[in-house]
Amino acid sequence: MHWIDWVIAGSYVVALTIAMIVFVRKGVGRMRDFLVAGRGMGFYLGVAAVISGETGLITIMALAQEGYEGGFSKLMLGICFAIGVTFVGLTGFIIVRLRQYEIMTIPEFFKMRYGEGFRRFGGLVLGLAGVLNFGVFLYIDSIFFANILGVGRPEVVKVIMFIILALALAYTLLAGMVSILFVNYIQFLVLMVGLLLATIFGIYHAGWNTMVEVSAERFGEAGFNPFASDTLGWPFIIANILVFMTVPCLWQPAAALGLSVRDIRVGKRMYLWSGLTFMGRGTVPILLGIAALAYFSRHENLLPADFKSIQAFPLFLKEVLPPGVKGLLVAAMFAAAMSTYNAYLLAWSAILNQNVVSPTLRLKEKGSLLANRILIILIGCFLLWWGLFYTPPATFFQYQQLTGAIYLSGALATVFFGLYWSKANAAGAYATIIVGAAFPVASVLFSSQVQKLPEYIAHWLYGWRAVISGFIIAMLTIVVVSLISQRWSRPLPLPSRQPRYNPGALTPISRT
Amino acid sequence: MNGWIYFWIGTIFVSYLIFFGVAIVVGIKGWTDLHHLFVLLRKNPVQGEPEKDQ
Repeated sequence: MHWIDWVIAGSYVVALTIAMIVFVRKGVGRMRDFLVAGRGMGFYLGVAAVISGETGLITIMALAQEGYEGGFSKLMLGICFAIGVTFVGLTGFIIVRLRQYEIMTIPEFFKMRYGEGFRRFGGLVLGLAGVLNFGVFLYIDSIFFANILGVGRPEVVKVIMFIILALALAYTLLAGMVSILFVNYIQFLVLMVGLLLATIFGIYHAGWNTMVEVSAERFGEAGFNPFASDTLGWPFIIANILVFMTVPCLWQPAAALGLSVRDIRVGKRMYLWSGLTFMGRGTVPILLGIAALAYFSRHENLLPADFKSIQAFPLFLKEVLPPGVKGLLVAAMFAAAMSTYNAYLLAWSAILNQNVVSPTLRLKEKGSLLANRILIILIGCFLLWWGLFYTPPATFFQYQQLTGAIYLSGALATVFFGLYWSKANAAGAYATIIVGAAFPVASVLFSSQVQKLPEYIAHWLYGWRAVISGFIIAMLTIVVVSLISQRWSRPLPLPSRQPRYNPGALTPISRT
Repeated sequence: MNGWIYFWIGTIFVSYLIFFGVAIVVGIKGWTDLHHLFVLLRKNPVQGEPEKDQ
C-alpha cells in the first residue's frame, strides 16, 4: 500500500478509538443501558445500525465469493434479502409482538411461554449456534486485510487476527449497545463511500462487457439464469427469503436493534427502509465478485499459486484501486468488521449471560455486567481458536447459512407458535430446538449416506432444500409434540398486558 | 440469456439507486438521532426524562 493509504486507514482507526473513549463511555453503567442503549435509539440511527450491522466485512467477502463462483445469477440473493426484510417491515412479523414484552433477548420470551428451564436450555443452544456461526468471521476478515495489504502469507493472517480481535474486544467492552450505535453510524458513512468508489473503479477496470463475456464463458446460461443451475432455482430463492424473513426478528444481533427502538412503529419503518436497501447489500459485493472474476480471467498471472476464491475480492481491490481510495476502503472495511464484531459479541454474550449464566449463578446487576464482559472475552478467544484451527467446507456463505439454520429453524418455530398458538408447550419446544439444531448438522455430517437414499427423499436433505426441510420439520415437530403432550405439559399463557416494571428505560413503550 | 442480462442491469440500477439514496438521507438525519441519544444518556443515564414519540 502507498503511504497515503496507511495514513488514511491509520488515522481512521485512531480517530474512532479516541471518539469511542471520549464520547461514548459516559452514561452507560447499568445492564439494561449496556444492552439496549436505554431504548433511546431513533429511526435514522436504527436504519444505519441495521444496514451496517448486517453488512459486515464477512458478508461482503462471502457475497463477493458467491459472485466470483456463480456469476450474475447470484444477484438473485439481493432480491431475496430485500423481500424477506421488507416483509418484516410491512407486517411487523413476530418483532411487533416481541417488542411488546420488553425483552432484551429471544430466550427471555421462552421463559414467559415455556418456563425457566426451557429458557436456559434454549438460551444455551441458540447462544452456542450463534457463536459457531460467528466462528469464521475473524479468519475471513484477516484474509481480506492480509491480501489487500499485499501480505497474504498465513503467518501474517494470524497476526492480523490477533490485532482485529484485540480492537474488537476493546471497542465492545467500552460501551455496549451505545458503542454499536455510534460505530455503526460512522461505519455506515465510511462504508457507503468506500463501496461506491470500489464499484466505480472495479467496473472501470474489469469492463462491463468482459464481465458479461466471462460469466457466459465460465457458467453458460446458469451464469445469468438462476433457474438454469442445478444448485440454485426455487429452493435457493425460497430458502434465502425464509432465512431473511427470520433474521430481522429472531437473529439476536439484528433483533436486538428491533428490540431497542423507542416505539414499534419506528421499528417497522426501520425494517422497511433497511429492507429496501438489502437489495443493494447483496448486489454491490456480488457485482464486485463478478468484476474480480472478469479481471483475473484476463490477468491470471496476478493470482498467487495457492489461490482460493475467497481471496479474489481483496486481491482485485488491491490491483484496481488508486492510492488514497485504497486507504479509504481499508478504513471502510475495518469499520464494517468492527460494527459486526460489536453487534455479534454483544448479542451472543447477552443470550448466554442473561439466560444461562446469570440465572444459574443468581447474579445481581453488577455481577451480571461482569459476567457479560467475561463472556465477551471468552467468545473472542473461541473466534481466535476456531479461526486458527478450523477449515470451513465449500463457500463461506453456505457455512453461514447452515450454521444460521441451526439457530433460526428452532427459534422460528418456538417463537412463532409461542406467540400465535395457545397449545404450544414446553415439551414441543424442547423437541423443536433439538430437531432444529440436529437436522442441519446431520445433513452435513451424513451427506454421503444421504445420497444413498431414494432420490425423492435425498433430494430434500442436501443443499438449499435442506434449509427449507429444516424449517418445515421444526414447525411440524412443535405442532405434533405439543398436541401429543398436552396432558402432562400444560402450556403457559402469555401475559395479556405489558409489564409495568421497566428499569433503565429512558422512554415509555408505545402500545400498538 | 439476453433477457436476463437486461433484468440484472435493471436490478443493479434500482439497487444502487435505493442503497445510496437511503444512505444520503440516513447519513444526514442519523447524526441528529445520535446527538439526541448522547444528550439523553449524559443528562441522566438512570432516570432520564421520558421523551415524546416523534
